[in-house]
Amino acid sequence: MADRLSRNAELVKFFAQAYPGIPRTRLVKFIYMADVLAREYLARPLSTLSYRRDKYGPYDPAVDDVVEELIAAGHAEERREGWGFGAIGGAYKRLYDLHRPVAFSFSLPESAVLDYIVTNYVKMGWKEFLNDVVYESPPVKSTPRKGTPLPMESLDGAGTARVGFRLDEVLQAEEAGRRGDVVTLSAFMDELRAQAPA
Amino acid sequence: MSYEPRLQRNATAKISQFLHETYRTRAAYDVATEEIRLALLRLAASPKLAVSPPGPFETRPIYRFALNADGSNREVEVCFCFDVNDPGERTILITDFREV
Repeated sequence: MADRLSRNAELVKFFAQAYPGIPRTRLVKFIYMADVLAREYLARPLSTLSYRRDKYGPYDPAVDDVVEELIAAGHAEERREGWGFGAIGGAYKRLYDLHRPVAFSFSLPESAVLDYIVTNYVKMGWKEFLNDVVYESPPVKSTPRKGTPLPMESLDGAGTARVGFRLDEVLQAEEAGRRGDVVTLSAFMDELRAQAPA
Repeated sequence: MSYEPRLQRNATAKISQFLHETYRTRAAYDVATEEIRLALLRLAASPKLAVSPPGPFETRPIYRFALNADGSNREVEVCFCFDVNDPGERTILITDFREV
């Protein structure tokens, strides 16, 4: 029987698959945005990370342990890649997926949230993503002081309230629609007329 | 270019329940039913009438329209998507309904 990855490790693997060589800060921001959307539309986070305001927005040092778990399980490897020159240079920690499939435990609405993150943010420039997306998210905007925990709970259900429809119900309906559980407009109108009050 | 509207059973159940609970007389019920038919045909003719909120509903637009069957103005909404099983994307699938 295969060892089960933790939920956080599954998320890290998912984003490492979607973004080969993902830098650590970007990885945390993707998981953060997935948690933001999941809280807004599903009223629960995808990860168990606890974010605080750091130099580049939300961060939780616990992500280091999650990356270690994934590496120890043989699903990813980390490479340090330098940038710049001498004193003004540094090194990125980049995570590479090792292409071993796992049975992800994400539900249909959770997968929709993750799909949205990958579709919209993977190819977005770093500065644009930080300034226009991460820094504009309500928990970061409301927390100017470095080191302060971000009030993630305040997001719970906010997206559903804004939109008016429940994401899980809409996704189930789409799925049922794909299976053919649909009716044409004219057939539905005939049904309604047949059910008219006397 | 017009689309063909199809409705998933979750949405039809909600529309049917709304009509029966809101319009008790035959006349009002019939008028409201026709208003819904015309609204969905308008949507099918021009899906751009709907809004696409950022986030997971970006590909699940929401179309709001008004019903005046019994003299009261009631706003309702449907959520829809373009049918991924339809390679030409000539079908819209109504997935949900609610009174605003």
